Amino acid sequence: MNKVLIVDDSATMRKIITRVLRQAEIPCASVVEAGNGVEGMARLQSDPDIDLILSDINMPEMNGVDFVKAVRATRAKEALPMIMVTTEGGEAMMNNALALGANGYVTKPFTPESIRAALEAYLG
Amino acid sequence: MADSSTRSLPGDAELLAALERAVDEVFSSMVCAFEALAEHGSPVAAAARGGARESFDREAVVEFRGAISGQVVFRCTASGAHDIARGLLMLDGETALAVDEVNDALKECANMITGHVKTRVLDPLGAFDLSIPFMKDAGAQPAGPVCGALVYRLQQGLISVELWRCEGAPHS
Repeated sequence: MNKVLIVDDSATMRKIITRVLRQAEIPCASVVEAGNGVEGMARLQSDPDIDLILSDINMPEMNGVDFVKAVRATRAKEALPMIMVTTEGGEAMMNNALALGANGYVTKPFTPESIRAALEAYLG
Repeated sequence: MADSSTRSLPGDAELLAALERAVDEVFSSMVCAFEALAEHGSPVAAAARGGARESFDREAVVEFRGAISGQVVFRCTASGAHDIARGLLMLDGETALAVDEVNDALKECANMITGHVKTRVLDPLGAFDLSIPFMKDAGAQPAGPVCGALVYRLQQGLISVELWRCEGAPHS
């Protein structure tokens, strides 16, 4: 993978996910960050070579569900995979996110193994 | 599929047991070593028994709203707060952290714990909303009855994880 976008309102969680990607030996050249869906959309416009998104759901300004909708308005699931990384582990919430175009999800707390398992299909 | 309208609302004991499982899972997988000091106890009393010389002066809160409403309150001593932040960020004990970094780590802990409780106990009851986690002035009591407090000793400090119901919300 060339570039991964991490969208989470917690700077702590963005750092943890970045570190876990390295621990899980996920091959990606760089990681970029955004604090909510609005910032995520701006980042996608300025960084067209992002090829995977890891996004929280419960965020201010634009939550992860609305972010999925916004991304899928212009980018197909196959073109830009989105994995939700969230405390919202309920079946209804996850099914909603998947129906709207998320490719998968990981619930917090997570381990490097669970992150790797969720990304396995997209590692090329 | 179970009909959420026929489910009875959880009592304090069930909510507190879910809170305890959430703390165990979050801390054992992502934070740091911990030891339970007291269940259903007051943080102040437990801190005194644990020989604490610090007050619980950091407080992160997540509110939940649905068939029952309330707050998960995550209080800790200053050294406990640093323990948690270093644990989450996988830093050694010598690394200095800014206040914002510590507060963000506490909010994320409160968020993960509340999310775990929501998934396991609240979601089967119907739709629930979680607030964005926020820091609150230490010592202010939420307006409502407390379901209970779980108190833990970390390497260098103490934490209290509490579940409060909103006043007027139905509870069994």
